[in-house]
Amino acid sequence: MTAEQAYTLIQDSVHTLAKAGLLPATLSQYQITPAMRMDGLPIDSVGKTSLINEIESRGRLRLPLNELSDIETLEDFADVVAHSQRAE
Amino acid sequence: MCETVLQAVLARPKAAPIHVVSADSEAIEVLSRERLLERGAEVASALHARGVEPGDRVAVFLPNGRTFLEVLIGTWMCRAAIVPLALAGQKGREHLLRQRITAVLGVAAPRVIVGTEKAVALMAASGAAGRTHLMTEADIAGCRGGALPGNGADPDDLALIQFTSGSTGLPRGVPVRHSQIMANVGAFGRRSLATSSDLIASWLPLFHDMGFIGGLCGPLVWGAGLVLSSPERFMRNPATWLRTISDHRATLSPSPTFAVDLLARHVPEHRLEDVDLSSWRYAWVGAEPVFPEILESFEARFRARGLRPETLHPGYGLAEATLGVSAGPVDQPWRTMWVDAASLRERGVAEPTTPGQRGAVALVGNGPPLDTVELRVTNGDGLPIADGSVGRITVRGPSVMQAYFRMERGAGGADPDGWLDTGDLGFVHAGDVFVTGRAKDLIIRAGMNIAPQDVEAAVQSAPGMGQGCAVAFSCVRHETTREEIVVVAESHQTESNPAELTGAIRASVLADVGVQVDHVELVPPGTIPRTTSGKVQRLMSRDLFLNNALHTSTPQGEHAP
Repeated sequence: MTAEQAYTLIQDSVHTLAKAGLLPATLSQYQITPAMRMDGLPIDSVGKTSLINEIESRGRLRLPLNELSDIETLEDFADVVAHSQRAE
Repeated sequence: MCETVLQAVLARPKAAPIHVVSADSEAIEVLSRERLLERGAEVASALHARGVEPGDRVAVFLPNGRTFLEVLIGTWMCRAAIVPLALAGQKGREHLLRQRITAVLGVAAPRVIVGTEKAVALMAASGAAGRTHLMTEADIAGCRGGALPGNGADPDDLALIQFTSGSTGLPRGVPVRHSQIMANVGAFGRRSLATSSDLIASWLPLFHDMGFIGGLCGPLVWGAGLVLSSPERFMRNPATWLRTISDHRATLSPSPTFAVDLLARHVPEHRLEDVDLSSWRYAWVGAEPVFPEILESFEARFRARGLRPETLHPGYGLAEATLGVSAGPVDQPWRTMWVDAASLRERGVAEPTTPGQRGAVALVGNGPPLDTVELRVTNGDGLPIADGSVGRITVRGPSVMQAYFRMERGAGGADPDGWLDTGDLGFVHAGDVFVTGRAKDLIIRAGMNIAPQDVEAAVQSAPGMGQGCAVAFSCVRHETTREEIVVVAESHQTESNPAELTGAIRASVLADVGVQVDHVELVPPGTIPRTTSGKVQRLMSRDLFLNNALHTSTPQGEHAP
């Protein structure tokens, strides 16, 4: 997966969850950028867990869950997503 | 006949052990009850040496794990009460954290505080603990000596103080006696037919009533096995909950609604490979509103993985009743009642209707009251009303609180006849308890109680906001199957850059309270309804919001009643 595809996957996941009411409605058209910080997203721990699972489901990926708490920027997150294992 | 949880453990030291799953790895430590008692005695000796006497309190800022269990048993051996507090989950700037901790400790007045190294360092640095003895996990690990007590406390001893939300203003602690725990655990055991053959899997935090009473005291009393995991492990990978049930062949496992939803609709299939839920016979689902769509989705997804149709049991409870008020019997699948939403809202009557009818909404029954709980629904005058009519849910029984810790009975406690107004709204139909709303100022997010005052204080600390400028409340939405958090903030800046301001408000609440705000409404000064003394009126604000009657100047898309 390219970095571009990873950004699209993250952004689509945010939009889907916002439309479903799992993330704040204001995120339904949110544009993410590489420089954004992860803690700059207005979502709490439940929201983050939902987002990670949505990304895994949608992208059929297996993210390294133990490493995600150390990630600080969207750029780093997209890099992890882009290099994640494909789920069988 | 055991009258306390400690007596139950002392009476059956060779009953099923506790499996403690590490929060950081998948390592499992097996802790026998005999060893737990030995370690409890050693901790009791250390607590006693620090002045802990019968009637004292020991506060703990600890994650789920072995140290928590040892401190709990040691505290009870001293005939003192445990005060489990959430530090790991606490967010916020340091001065707010200090305020919160100081306020709670001021009420609980513990003799000793046991915490993680980080928590103890924070308290030592901030002075929040005053002259209270501080002990770290390493101190507990180093405890030696001590002898087992002859019996396990007195049933009338205070066993536990449960703080139900973290308001900086006036934290309220629910005092729970050993007899109240035993009454509630006993009633729930009879309802779920729990025995020593059962095995409970719980990841729920032990500072929460559902985790402490349902996930820990239950198995200790029943002599059942326990696999104790942690919320940190669950939040990192929710599939670990079901994998634990599958791997250990667990039979009972409680859960808040949000966790059921995460597993039902979001966790990817590849995280659930080989999960077999055929051993799971009873799941108490609650701690927040339960929606039929979530239960149906969960059942539909996991039926092929062995989930039995009668496993999920929505239940109703609150810390002020120790935990449980109602839950379904084992052989009765959960029930949905379709009612007319307008009749419910406007006339307070649950008028039955059918799916597909205009305005039909499905409500989940929470089963009948437990056999030690009396429940009635009352009108504004405190008089019982007919089944099917919406009113205030009031409860009475041996596990129901009479008064908050160190507060007068009238301040939110029971009436002289022992009836406690839960602050929840609902009705009874065909014996089942249905919860329709809340008359009290309380927000519930992911099963955790949040004081709206804390959210409002966080809003006030956002740039450009001032004292008393905001009101916070939550709305239960059947459309999204969510309880959503709403902030209405008054500002002169509504015309200039509303997006920036709403962003700052969200960030401030997230930083200080740890929850996301679903909707922010900016309104001109003077819009929020207040009492004559100037206090914000949260329930009226919620009604105005839901009826789209707030005069907003928020960008489109923020408001979604």
